[in-house]
Amino acid sequence: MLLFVVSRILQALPVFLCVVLVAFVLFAFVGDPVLIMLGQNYTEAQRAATAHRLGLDQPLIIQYCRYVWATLHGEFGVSYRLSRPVAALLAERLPATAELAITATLLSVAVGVPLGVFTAVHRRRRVAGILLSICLVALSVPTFLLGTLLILVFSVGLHWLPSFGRGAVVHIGWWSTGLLTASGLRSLVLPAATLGLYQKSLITRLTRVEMLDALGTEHIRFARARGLPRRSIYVTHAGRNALVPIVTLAALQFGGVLAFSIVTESVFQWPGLGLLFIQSLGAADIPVLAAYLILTAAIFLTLNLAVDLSSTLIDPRLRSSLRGFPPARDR
Amino acid sequence: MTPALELSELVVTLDGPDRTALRALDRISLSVAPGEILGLVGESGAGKSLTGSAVSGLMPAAARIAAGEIRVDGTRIDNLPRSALRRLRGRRIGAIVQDALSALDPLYSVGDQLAETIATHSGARSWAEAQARAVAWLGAVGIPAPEINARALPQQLSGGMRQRVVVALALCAGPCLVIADEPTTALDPSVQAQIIDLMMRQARRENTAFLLITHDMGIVAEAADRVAVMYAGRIVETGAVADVLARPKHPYTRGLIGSIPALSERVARLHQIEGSMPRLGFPSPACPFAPRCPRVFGRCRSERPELMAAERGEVACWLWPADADAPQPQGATADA
Repeated sequence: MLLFVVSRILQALPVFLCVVLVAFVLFAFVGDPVLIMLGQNYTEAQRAATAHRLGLDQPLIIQYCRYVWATLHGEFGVSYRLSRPVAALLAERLPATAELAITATLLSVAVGVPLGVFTAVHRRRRVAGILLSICLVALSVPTFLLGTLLILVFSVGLHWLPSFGRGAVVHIGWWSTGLLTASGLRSLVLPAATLGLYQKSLITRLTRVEMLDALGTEHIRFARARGLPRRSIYVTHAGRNALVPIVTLAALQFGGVLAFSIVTESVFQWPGLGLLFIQSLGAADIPVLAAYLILTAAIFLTLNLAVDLSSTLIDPRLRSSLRGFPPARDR
Repeated sequence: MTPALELSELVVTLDGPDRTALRALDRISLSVAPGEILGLVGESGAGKSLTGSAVSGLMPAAARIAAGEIRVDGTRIDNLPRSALRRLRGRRIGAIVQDALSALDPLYSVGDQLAETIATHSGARSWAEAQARAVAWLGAVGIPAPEINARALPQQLSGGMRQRVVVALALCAGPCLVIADEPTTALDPSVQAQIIDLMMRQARRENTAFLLITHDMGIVAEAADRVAVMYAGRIVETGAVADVLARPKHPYTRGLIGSIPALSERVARLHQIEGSMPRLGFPSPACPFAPRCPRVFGRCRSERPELMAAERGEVACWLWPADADAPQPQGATADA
């Protein structure tokens, strides 16, 4: 198992270095940091001195290596827009986005998977058809429209929930959490619902298809013939057989909302990474954008590794270590 | 003695297009006594498997029982609600299927699947006890090193081993009736013989009744006590295996037996029954076998024969009774 993890990490390494290269290219060729730092009036000697101090007069390959080295140490430079270290900015924004993404994904899995199983098991009932139609509608509504509608109904109309921001937060070390205060929790509801509804609908539909597939197999027929209880047939046997693609989708969705919940965060002015990204994009804040790119790559590579590991737990056929099992022979 | 399985006048229809109902099984009556192995033979599409699945309650979604009765160990089961039927499956009615590889869940070890079935039906006090009984069952069906092989996934075992696991799964709850649908078709001959032997020992020792569904007359000759021959959704001949093999009454049965090449003689061409079975949904007043029958005569094309007693068995053919207005059958050997 350890070998498996190490080999997967080694496979991910080239991908990660490529992404770092792209981030580096952004730095090296989009805008000139020296001009930005010196402002309007400077002499050629000042320019050369600054470039030398920043190491920009060295060959590109040396600069790239130094960039990788700095990245590995969590140094992403200083934001042009806010004049603060990028790493600190990201660390400040990450908790908000992570809590939102985790809540939305947990909700979508907790609702989406049972709904998918239900619509597969009761595929001939009208309720299943209605639920699926609702899912289809939810998949077609754009996020900004859904978010705005929810604000209109629950904030402006009913005054039940706040329309923007994160509410009060509690700091635990460097992590700020809104999960421990009432206003934080109330603020979380609408953005999490907005993000989660789309994911939930996707998961429901995938779960349904995978379950129908699994329920149609010969071994489920034989499980029925053996008189196994329904719960065991649907959960233990069909469910586990349907699970690998569902876990994969849920993980990729989670990565997606962690890295790209830009629209939702904008609509709700959620102080997370997505909002930081869109603001930095407007200001051409290259250090933040480059660091964001690398962070996104790291998130997806980690999630892929987690999916691979969980898949081998779910499906023993994927475990290479089992190939050595002594095959039994007929006497 | 109460028969382990009794079908009386069972009619099963399939939903056809435009709300039509096609009669796939036409008034099937048969019974299997405890400890008896009844071979149910016929070509593909004759309705053998449908008969089996009607008993185990696993018919395809389009099929329904339109008339008749199914009794297992004296209890009528065709009108039971699904939940009651589920309690009978596995416990009173075991099932052995053809393709053991696809019949076993690829994600669980064979020991776990067996233990789950045992725990479901016989109330093992703990999972460990169920596991121990599963290992004992694997040993009982002839799997070597059962403690080790219990941990194997189905795809890690050979075809014969997997079929033994399926047999163990069918027998582990002590059913009074086992529906064995082509249990040996996917296996090579030496393993076939071992599986057949396993079923015969179970029938003798535990008094378990077997409905052995096969297209292979050789298997029937080897394993069954009695045989029922199906053609186009009906039973056309029944009788003790020895009687039917030695002196088949229905021309179709004769054709089936003739299809097995004898080892002693080399023939230029294997015997075959010309033509194919009539399609469903074209009811005709004639005997369904008439178009393919080598001994067809006038009455066969206008009137359908019913199953009736003939010597020590039953047959649905106008050639019987022998005093009918037909050419006399020519004995057991000559035909075709």
